[in-house]
Amino acid sequence: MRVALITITLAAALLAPTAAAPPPGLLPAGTFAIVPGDSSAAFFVPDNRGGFSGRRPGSPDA
Amino acid sequence: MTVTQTNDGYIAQVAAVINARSLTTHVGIRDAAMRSTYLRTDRFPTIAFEGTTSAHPGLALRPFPATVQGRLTLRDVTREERFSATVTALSHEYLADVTTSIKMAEYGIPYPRAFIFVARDPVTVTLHIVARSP
Repeated sequence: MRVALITITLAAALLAPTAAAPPPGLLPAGTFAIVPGDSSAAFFVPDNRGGFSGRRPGSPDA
Repeated sequence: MTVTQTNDGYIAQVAAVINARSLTTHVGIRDAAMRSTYLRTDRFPTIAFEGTTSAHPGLALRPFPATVQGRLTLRDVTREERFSATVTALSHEYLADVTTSIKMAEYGIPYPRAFIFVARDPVTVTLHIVARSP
């Protein structure tokens, strides 16, 4: 009987859905600044001949 | 960008500005038309976004999805936009990748045309954003 109870308790714990709330402090919080030199922005405009692309200069893959 | 933890996830207040005059398509005559006629950068020199990003990253051991919602200002039009991002959390920085589309017509931008070329919607926008703790 005791073994069965322990087994049920363990099973319930293992099968329970993961709690939605993340552990405190798991991800960095506070203020962050976007780094323009490491960030990139690009766009593609379709047209009747295939389209053209553009970007913000300074993007790493520019 | 300011990141705070909530009861069930994380939320970030985001503000970003792009210098519209700096955008290039690597074709001088097209860039000139884009700036003068379509984006009208003399009057509207920046493209701005202000909004929030929310996510439920779990243990965040891998990149996780986030929802970005806010106000995008392009030329003299501000519209509510909503798109998805993939976020990677590192010890002192966040990386975010976004691919979304916007419609020129919704921002009052005439469809660019030159010779036999006539552009149309939607414009696909791809962003890779690195935000670092100072």
